[in-house]
Amino acid sequence: MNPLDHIERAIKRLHLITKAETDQRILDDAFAALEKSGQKQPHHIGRSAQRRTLGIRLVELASIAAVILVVFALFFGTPAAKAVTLEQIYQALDKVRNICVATFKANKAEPYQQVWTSQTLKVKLFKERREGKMQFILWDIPNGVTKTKSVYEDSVTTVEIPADRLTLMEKSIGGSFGLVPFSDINNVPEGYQWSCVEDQNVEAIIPGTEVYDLTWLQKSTTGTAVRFCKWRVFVDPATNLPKRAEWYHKLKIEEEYIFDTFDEVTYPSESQIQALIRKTFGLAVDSGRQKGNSKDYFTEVSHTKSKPPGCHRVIAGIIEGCAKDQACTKKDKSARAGAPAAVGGKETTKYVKKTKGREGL
Amino acid sequence: MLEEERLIWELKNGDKEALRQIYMNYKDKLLTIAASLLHDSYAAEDVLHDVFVSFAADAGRLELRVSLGSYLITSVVNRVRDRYRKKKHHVVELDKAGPIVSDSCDPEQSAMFAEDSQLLADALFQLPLEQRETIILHLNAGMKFREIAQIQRIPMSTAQGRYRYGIDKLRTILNGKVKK
Repeated sequence: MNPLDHIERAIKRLHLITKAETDQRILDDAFAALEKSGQKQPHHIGRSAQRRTLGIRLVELASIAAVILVVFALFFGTPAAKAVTLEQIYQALDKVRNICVATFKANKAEPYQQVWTSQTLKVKLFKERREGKMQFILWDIPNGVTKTKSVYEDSVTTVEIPADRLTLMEKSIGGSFGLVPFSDINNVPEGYQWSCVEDQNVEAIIPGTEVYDLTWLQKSTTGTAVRFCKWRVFVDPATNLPKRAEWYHKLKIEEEYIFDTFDEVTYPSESQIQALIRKTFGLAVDSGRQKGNSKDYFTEVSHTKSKPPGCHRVIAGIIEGCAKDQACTKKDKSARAGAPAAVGGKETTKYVKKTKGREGL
Repeated sequence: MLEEERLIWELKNGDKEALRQIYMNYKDKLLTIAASLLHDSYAAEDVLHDVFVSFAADAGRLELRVSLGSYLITSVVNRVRDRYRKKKHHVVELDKAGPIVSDSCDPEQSAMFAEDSQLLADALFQLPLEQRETIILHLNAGMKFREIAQIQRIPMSTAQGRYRYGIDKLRTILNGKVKK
């Protein structure tokens, strides 16, 4: 055999092992450094004495600067900036009863889905493209039906919802609107990070908001594979409510995050959602509190009135306008929010009522 | 690889167990590289200590552009160079360090291996640092010439040249002393 081969093989086989006491010493010091790092103290452990001195000096300077800032703030009565916590956002969203979420693919100007949810009316209205057509789908929980209508057609398809699905859909309406990554804050994985984004360019996207990043590690069911996720939220500091949320992911830690989708959020009133449904489906909507689960909860109205030409376009325009005014909508959270696709379909249809060529609204 | 990324994520969040796991995964490899480059196991332990303490201290700001292994090996190489640059390094016999082990269960073969290792370590130390670095990083750390060239900031062909010259010198020095 070639002697060169022996040398190479021998070098490959060189292997030293550390002693137990060495491991203990190194790990103890490394743990101490990690703890200090977590406390955001100067990282000077294991460095030279010169750097240590520099670190102490920096701490002293920072302390002096902090004292000056506090005195300045007290003197001028300037309140210190108060960060919004993730808990506060969940608490604020918990009080929301009516919401509109528009979801966009990254770098797209038009939403691919808009969802209006009213917990008080127990309804959810989707506007999305299905089978090549822009459609409205209404979940009418009190009447136990879904109604589907194409934007450019007058016919409305009504499908009765099976009882088991009705429960799920009702639960979805009462959820977190698919706006936050985890329906319950207790489900946020351990090790998540919540940080304020202090970048004027980012803040300028929605003026007057504060921007925060939630980052977490998503594990597979086996617990081995990982996906790095980021949820960037633009919060109104007055209400702690999100006005925009961006969704990112990456597969390797050293990679840049990939911007997937974003949501724009508005908080319409119950009457605004009622009006929208009325204009879309020609239904009068009363509060569920007044009529309970009556099948007359939504009453089709004014079929006798004549509809002006091109009325469907007017309706579409109104809805588009509403969407633009209120920046309403929602995203690829069919799974999270409960997609309309889960409803209807031939296999679940108990009865289908079609109202062709309805006149007027 | 994904498991490694999970460890890094947990470390960045201050998880000591992740740090322990990373240390256990890499300690022997890094010690071997440091000891081979320094010809001094005590100094190699110091390097290993400094690399991990510094790694832990900067964990929160860690942004890896390469694999964790490459990152740690590069840290070791940089610290070894620092020691030479500051003339802080004094040569100590390698056999005063921790045991050199082989994969063999045969005691006779293990003894032969230890003897070979000592000869090799002595021969390696007679090479210029750059050639030693190239040989150790390529053969022991399993790095590609492209990666070594990046660490040494030289063209890949230069790294390959250093390797060839180094191996030739080793052959001359050892002259068949290393057993099959």
